[in-house]
Amino acid sequence: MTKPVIAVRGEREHSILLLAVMAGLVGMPLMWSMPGEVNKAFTSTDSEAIALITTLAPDYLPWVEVWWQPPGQAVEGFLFALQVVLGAGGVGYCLGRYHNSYGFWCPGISQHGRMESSISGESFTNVSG
Amino acid sequence: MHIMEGYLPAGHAVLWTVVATPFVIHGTQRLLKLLAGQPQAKLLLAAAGAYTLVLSALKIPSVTGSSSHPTGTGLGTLLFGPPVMAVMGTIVLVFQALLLAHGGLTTLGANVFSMAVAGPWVAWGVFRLGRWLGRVALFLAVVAGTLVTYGVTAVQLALAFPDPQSGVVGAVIKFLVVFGPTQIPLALSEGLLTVVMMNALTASGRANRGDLALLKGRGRQ
Repeated sequence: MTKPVIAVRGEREHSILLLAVMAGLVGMPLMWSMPGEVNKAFTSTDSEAIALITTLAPDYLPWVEVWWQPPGQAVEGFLFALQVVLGAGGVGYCLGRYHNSYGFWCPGISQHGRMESSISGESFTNVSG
Repeated sequence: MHIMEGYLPAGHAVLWTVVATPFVIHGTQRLLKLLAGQPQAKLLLAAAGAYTLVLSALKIPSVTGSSSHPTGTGLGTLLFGPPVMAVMGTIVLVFQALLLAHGGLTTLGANVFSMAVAGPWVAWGVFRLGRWLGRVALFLAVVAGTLVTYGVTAVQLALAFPDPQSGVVGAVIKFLVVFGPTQIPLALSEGLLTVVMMNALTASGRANRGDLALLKGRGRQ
């Protein structure tokens, strides 16, 4: 609490490093093949599980159909992308509001957008700049 | 990892729904209590829900040459505890079942149990055991939670479709082989990303740390 600036800097670098490792984990399989790898089409494990069900129980028929299917791959991709966009937007919005409400990113403005600083005009300049 | 619509026999579907329901009811009570007692938690709650939405929609390529998606339930679990996450996970699963044809209503109970009950409780347990490790405990908890989610899915499928030769155990192994190698790198990625999210949440290093009661070791609301 006595050294918030140092803590923030450290965490930011820490976070960037972690994101880089993550990018590596995701990017690696696109570049190299693993020994004994099943396929390289990046099919979903969900469909692989269904294929396994079909071998284990060839007679099994799904007794309910989904009530609605996205018409085609493109629409399915769109809907998944939409879900990610809504979610990521929500995360970003909440993070911003969250910090803002504690006067972290916008130090001159209090929880409800009121100006707290005595030199109120400068607070806004700080926010935009 | 969501079991597709119709891919659990009716008996199993009913059974898993019965098993999952009390957790969701309990979670709803906890959630309402949380919102009544700490209205300021809404924002964090929404962030955790949105995070689950993102991660459970991201199909990520993995080293096995297949792709799968993480669960995203770890963050909410560590912020609010497993009961609250049971509700939020259920909302995400219903959304995906109805609008994305991903998962299904008959398999909802089984999917809720694996993703919104078993995973979060294991993540919670791992975090409590390893709390002294700090951020590393966060990472381990999320990784364990995601892997357990897929492990439970494998068991659920194996119980419904035992191997003709090697029985349920053989089928568990077969389903784990389908999910496991693909899921391990994704679980590691999710663990890292969740630590990044926690860093972002605690970035101000000031008053808002008080909200993250769990991280401060004050127990949960």
